[in-house]
Amino acid sequence: MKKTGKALIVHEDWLTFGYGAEMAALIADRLFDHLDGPVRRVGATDTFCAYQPLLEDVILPPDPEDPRRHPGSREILKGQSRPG
Amino acid sequence: MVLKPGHDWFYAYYRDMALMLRLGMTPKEIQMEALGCADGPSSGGRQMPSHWGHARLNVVSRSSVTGTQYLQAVGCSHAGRYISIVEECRKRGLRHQTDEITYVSGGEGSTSEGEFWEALNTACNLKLPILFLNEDNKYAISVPVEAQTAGGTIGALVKDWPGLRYEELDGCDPLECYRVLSDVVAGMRRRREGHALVQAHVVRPYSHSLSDDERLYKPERERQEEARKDPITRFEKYLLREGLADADLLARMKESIDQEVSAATQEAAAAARPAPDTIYSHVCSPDVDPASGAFSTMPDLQGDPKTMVDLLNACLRDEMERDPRIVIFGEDVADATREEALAEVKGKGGVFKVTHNLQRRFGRERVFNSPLAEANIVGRAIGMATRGLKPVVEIQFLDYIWPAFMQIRDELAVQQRILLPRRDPGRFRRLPGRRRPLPQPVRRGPLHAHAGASRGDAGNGAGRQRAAPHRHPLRRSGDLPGAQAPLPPDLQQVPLPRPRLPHSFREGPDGPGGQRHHSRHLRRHGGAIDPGRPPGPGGERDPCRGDRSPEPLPPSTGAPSRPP
Repeated sequence: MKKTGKALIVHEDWLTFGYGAEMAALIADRLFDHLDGPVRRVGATDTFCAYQPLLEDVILPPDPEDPRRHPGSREILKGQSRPG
Repeated sequence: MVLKPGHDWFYAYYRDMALMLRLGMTPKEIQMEALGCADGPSSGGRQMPSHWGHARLNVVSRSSVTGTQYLQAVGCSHAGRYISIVEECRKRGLRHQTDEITYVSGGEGSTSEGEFWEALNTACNLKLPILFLNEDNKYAISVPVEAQTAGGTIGALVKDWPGLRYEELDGCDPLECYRVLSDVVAGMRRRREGHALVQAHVVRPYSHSLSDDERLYKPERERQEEARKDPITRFEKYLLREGLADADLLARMKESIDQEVSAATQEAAAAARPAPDTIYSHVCSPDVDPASGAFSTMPDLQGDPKTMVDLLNACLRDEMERDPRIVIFGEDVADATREEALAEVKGKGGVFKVTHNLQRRFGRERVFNSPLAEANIVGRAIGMATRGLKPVVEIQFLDYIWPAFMQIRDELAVQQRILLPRRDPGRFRRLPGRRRPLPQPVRRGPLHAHAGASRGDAGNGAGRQRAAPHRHPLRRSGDLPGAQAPLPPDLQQVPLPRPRLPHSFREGPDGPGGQRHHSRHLRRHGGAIDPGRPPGPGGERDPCRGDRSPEPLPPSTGAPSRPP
């Protein structure tokens, strides 16, 4: 946070009431002075995860281990609605 | 052969492919589910293969969390009886058959789940016409039956249950299966209530699944012994020995079946896959949009102020008056299970009196006590809702909800949304309403009534609409001085808040109807993005909005503020 001033929380959990909400709250509470923009989250859509891989791909977020697979990370952080 | 598709009801185990074929599910339909095709009859690509569901055949889908099917089968059977008693339900198009049977099957491993025992208990107690088929292959993946079941066989434990007919048979012998099951089913149809558990000793012809290798835990000798019991090779030998078929006929049959399966697979492979922008289909009801403005009515204020409990009671009473499909059950919700006591006593009507006098008014078929078992309450409600009833169930305290939470989270919210048949949406699904008292000022430790910490867990999850009164709990209970004063005295319909949309679904550059863009967009990114800012002026797409126009409640008749 101190280095980038930005926070993007990515988890496989559902977005609504997912644990990213708690992390976002903690960041806002404790690291507010370092924040250079809104904390953003990416999570699974608020639906069950389908068996069909074509659907699973759109339900689950991309692999968080590889930031290069987040082509829209910067745009998401800028608050743009349509990343990429 | 002894049960009838579209007449009886089926909660079929994932090893019940032979049953499904016999009921009328086609090889193509089976392969369409395996390949996740859009028009697969069970789930349209949502559910794993072999999790059977088929609206036309009365086959209700079930989850991999095995054991959950039993209580739903109890609710389904109970609903059939209720519909047969209440003519008003039949006038509203709910179906039942006078001699219907609910079939529910599972492996011996699933009988270790507590819900199996809850279901058996209620089936015996209510004398419901349910056929439990236990397909006992002696292993739950790698765990042998002696590690599951006291005495090593379920039969020894259940054979003396009240009214339960217990039969044991060789499930690898088709003729014995037919003989015993025909007799059991005929008896159940005749008596229209008998419940039965049939234990079929079977073998598992290969490992549990492709991810399992049974050679890791089954000695070779045991595997060979099982192979000798294989019903397919054994029955083939029987047909040859008895001169009922010759080798040529059997070869031709095999070839024709191979061709059929191959053709079905090719057809399924060519069938359409579900479009990515359908992921929200059936997450919420396709029939009713509870967030619709059609549900917004102005309150007609009249009469004296009431507590919230009184208002909930009046609301339930009015709704029950209006809709015969509503039943209420839970712990302590009845006035008195022993009806004869009602002449002398005031009646319980819920630990918070929310259901007081409803049994007195509507009778014990519509308002009744459940066993002290929360999964039992919700699991049965789901089965009832499958048949078109509108069960309203009460969990006494939010802290007591966790035994039921698997049914709520996996079954009510997820599993039961999956299987809406594409072309017949909503035929199976009228999902139950639940009311559970939120924290009341009762201080009995963290696992009794301290519900505040539970709200996060209860809030998480798709496929459920949650609602809570927004007044302070003390006001609801009427314990605060002046608590009655600020509450509106009359009932009012309020639309539920619209679910928040993930940002990527909110708008497209091409405005309303920009779904093509959405699909492409989703494919590139996946997941949901925190909305972050208010929606733009573009076309808003509501994931929980059905294709049909909303069906608002008609205005309440009667005098809503009348005390019960």
